[in-house]
Amino acid sequence: MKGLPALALLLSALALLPALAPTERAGVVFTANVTYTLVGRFLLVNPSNTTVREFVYVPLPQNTTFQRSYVVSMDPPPLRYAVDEDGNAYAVVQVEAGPGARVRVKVEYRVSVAGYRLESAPRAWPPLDVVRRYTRSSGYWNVYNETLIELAYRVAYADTPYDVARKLAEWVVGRVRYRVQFTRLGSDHAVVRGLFDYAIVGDCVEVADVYVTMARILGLPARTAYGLLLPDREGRMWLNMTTAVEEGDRLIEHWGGHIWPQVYLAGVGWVDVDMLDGMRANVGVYSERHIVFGFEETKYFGSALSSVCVPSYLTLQYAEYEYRGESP
Amino acid sequence: MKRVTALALCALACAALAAAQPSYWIALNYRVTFLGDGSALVEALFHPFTSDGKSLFGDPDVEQNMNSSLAGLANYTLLMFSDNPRLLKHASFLYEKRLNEIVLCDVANTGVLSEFRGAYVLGARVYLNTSSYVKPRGGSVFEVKVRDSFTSVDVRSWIDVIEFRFEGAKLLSYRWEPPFARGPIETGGDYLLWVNFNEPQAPDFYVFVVEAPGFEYVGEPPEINATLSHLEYDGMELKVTVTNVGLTSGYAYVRVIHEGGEQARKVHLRAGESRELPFPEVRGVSAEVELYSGDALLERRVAELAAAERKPQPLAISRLLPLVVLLAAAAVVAYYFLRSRRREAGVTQQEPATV
Repeated sequence: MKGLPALALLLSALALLPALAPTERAGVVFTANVTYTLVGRFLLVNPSNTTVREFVYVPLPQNTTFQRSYVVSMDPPPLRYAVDEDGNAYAVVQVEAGPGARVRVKVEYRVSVAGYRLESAPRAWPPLDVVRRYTRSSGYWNVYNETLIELAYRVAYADTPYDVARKLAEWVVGRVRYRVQFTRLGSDHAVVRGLFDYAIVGDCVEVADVYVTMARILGLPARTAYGLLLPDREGRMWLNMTTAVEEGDRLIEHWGGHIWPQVYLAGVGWVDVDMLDGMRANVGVYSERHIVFGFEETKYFGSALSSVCVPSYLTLQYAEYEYRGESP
Repeated sequence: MKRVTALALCALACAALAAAQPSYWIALNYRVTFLGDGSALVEALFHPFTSDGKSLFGDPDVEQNMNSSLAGLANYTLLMFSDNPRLLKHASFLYEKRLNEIVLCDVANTGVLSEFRGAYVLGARVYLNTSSYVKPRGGSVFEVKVRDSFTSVDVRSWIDVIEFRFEGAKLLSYRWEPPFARGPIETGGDYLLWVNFNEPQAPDFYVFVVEAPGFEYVGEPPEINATLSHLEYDGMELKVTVTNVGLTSGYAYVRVIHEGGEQARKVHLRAGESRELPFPEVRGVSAEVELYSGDALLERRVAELAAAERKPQPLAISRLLPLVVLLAAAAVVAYYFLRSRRREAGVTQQEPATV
């Protein structure tokens, strides 16, 4: 009998520990669970003739229903952790660089990701405050574009939110004309009229922007998630800023920066729709190879954290991530 | 301070390839005057310079670049007061080059302000009663949030100097977000001045409670004039038909409040267009239906379950099963009870028969 209070105490203590595995959610089935060690290295250069002491902004992997993230180390150490208007956490580090000098920033994270599949979706529509907040127009998601309004109602209008999400995904994925894009076009400029049909020209950013805009036109709350899509459970990806433009589409052979849409289904919550992962209408089919660094929800010009590492006066010249995943 | 690049910054996927492009910087000074009628005069003073701190004021290429990006610069002013510049009421922007203005900025984050002479000035009057960053507090009192729209768009940018004046409007209280940012360096009853040497020091939001006698809250203006033209409710699904009876196209919201919850749909309607919106899983004998456009409530009606459908509905077999079992058990008990009674009665009746 003496052992019982001790056991109860131990169980209470365990309950207070942060959960390592992502939490459960109604209507979804977990398909995989992987914990990654993710090491990022960023090379910054001072192009000016003066010594600068400046702040560098580093987006962090987020905590979500399907992802738990920890900062293992950061060099230089973070000056501060902060949260942007959409609730995304990031770190601020301070560096100093003489004229022409190079500075390195190294980060290490541990991220547990759950892949999932949506098993059932309620048919009801979300409440008014959710619909208002997540169907607004913005700089990249112009819900007043007449062409997109006409298209959205023609191809994806349906009686339930899930049916809207699915029909829209099927339409979008069949019209992607993939091309790495170095400026964000926004949905207004990403949909082009071809000889027989419309096409979505651009990369993951344009595909996500078009999907979110058309979903919002139809009254389905939508936003984007951004981060990495890993090709395997172990490897390295890199980006050389000085050669990226001339590389063009070959960039995706060694870089996995990614952005994809999410829709809000009442009773379930935010559901991923990553159509470029396998080129399928993946409504609620989410692989454990995604690492979320943030969401774009309400801001007119999307995320303020526009890169993997955002210096002020310095120039980001090279970025790489090394990752190793383990299943429990 | 804002870094201007030839390429727009793209999302994480493309990892800001703008880095390879030539760039210059703009010192950003703002003057905001709150007026008694509930509007605000906003003046933005821009001064371009190189990363070494050399002024580019009057440089023909930079001037041309700034002239061509005026709409974008005006958007920054509107985004200080709203999530969506399209919905914020404002007067036309005026743009001019002033030689005698002084613009302040800490050029290389050294903690020392540099003075630049001359400014490109972009001014406008913004009507706060349509701002999504205004919360009415009753009467002519309201809270207004002024966002640093430069930080909001690009995390490394910020407004270097911003002064707030209150003319005809009365400042009741003020604060700033996040709390670890610096407060104003000069304060007076009708005047506040912030000087921000770097982005972490600069507030993301300046928040004021203001009393302006002429202020009357409007909120987001309606986009269309619409009506609930038909409601049909069968106890499971509610079908709402909305008709645009006005002359403009735009969006409306339909909200259904029913037993145990609410649902809402947003619908786009052209002039004269009607659309039927089904709401599944609606429960109860009635549901309240509200029609909005912008923040304006256009119509409110109650959808009743049709009289014919209110009659007792045939119950499903599965729900009847316990009742059937109960009735059967009751019948068996009743049978044996009656039988035993009859047996007793039989015995008493038989006795005379022995006669």
